Amino acid sequence: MMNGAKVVVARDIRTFFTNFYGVGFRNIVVVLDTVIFAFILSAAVPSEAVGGLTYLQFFALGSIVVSIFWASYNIGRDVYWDRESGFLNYLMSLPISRMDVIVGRSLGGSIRGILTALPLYVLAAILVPTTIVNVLESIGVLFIFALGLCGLGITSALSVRDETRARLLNTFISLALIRSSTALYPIVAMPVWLQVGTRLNPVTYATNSIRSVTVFSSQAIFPGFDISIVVAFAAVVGLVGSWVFSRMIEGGPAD
Amino acid sequence: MIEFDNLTKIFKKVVAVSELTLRVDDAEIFGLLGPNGAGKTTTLMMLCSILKPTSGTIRVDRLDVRTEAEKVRTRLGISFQEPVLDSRLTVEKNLEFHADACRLPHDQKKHRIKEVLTYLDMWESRDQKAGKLSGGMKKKVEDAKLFVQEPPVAIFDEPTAYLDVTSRLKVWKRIESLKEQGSTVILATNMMDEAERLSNRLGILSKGKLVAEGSPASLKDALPRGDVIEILIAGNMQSALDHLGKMLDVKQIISLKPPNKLRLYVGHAETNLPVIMETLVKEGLRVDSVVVKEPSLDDVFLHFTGETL
Repeated sequence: MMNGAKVVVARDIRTFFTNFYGVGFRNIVVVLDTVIFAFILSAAVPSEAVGGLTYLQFFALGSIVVSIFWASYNIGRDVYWDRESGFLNYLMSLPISRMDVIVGRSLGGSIRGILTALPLYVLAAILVPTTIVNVLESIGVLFIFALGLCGLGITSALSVRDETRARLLNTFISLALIRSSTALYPIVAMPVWLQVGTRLNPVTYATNSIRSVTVFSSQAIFPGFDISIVVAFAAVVGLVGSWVFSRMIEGGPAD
Repeated sequence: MIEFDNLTKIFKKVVAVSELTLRVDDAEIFGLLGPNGAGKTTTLMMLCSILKPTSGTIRVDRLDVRTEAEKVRTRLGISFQEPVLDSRLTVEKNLEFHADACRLPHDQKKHRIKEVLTYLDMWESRDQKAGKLSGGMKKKVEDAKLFVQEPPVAIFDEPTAYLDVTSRLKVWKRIESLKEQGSTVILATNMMDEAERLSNRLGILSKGKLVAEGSPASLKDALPRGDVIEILIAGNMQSALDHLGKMLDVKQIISLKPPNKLRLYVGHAETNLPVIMETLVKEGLRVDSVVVKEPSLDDVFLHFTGETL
């Protein structure tokens, strides 16, 4: 990796661990949600509705995607703060290329997402049949998805200059994408109008990929279509995010 | 060597820097003097390739800042006016981040960070989060970045703002030692004593324009020869101005803020002061205070810009 990007990534990881309690607490909430909410609903949701899994298994794997969503998407909030606090000016005065800054922030956000989700894989491994290879493949897909989320987070955070609006937009996009996906509910349980949105939602394809890849089955079919959507999402949104970021850098934040 | 050639920066309709042409030689401390909004920080931001000039060029060791920005940035470092630190990281980690970005070898990095923090009485605070530091401590860490980096071109924007007297002196000494080691230093300040003590040469910026340039001594030479008398008067100022302006040995009179304060440039204060006092009293004006002094850089600034810092 280029030295500059490495330095930027190292900062993102360091700052991630300064908020270790926050991340740990969020994971505890997810685990409690899974153990209590999903466990209770498990008896009420038929297995056919959740792709042959129990709702508990379905929810546990979906929670991993939700967790990585929050962690990676929030890199946009960091970039916003860097701009507002002048740290971005400082970064731009360093002997680091603009591309290194952009690549570094995207990789840093993705690694943060994976680090956040790792403990949840332990819970998933207890609840679903899986192997190390399955988990590694799943992490690979998640990493690609996280790159797209970083692009999305950066694009939305830099689209507004007002802190309150940025926070509201952040919350709106996060909730809209998570709630209208199959991360937490099966698509058959949704009204038809919402199903349309769900089928257009990249979180749906990321969640479907993670469920297919993580659960070990001798008759498993590689979720090629779902993964291609995830890759396409990461490529397009990642590029848009990089373009928005670079445009802001080239223009100069003080402009 | 740093060369600014016809450098202009316009923000929408506001001209922040206007046709700045200037040369800074190697291993000198060049002071950029000017009040807030004079264009100092904008000039420095363009030098660091953070902002793009509207027109004109900047060259650092003949490298164009626009076209060879990355190469230029390997040669310079900037200590910002407002400290820019990651509040979640400790003092030491902030400096490590800076050193890593500037590709300092690991051993040198550790050694220099310890040495600089010890010098600035900050070693004991190395594990404190930057967000918890006082304004003065943050400023010291901001300056420490360049003391650790030791770049060929070190840019300081108000390096001693928020600092106590002891820390100020330490930072000044360290800036001087950077110069002795061969670094070129650009010092943006609005503190006259700082500019006078550190700068080999000075440029005075006012409303985005360079209005004067030279060594502190040569700039003082541009002032009318003699002494400076500051008088605080109660009464009709206009009549005082009319009478004092007619006196042969009064070379220049400037009205200052607060109102009713005059600064007079005269040949010899000893011979002129009694006549001035007599004139003012005759006009029915009350003199509240009189100060006689030698011309300072403040007078130089006032002379060239018509305003005080």
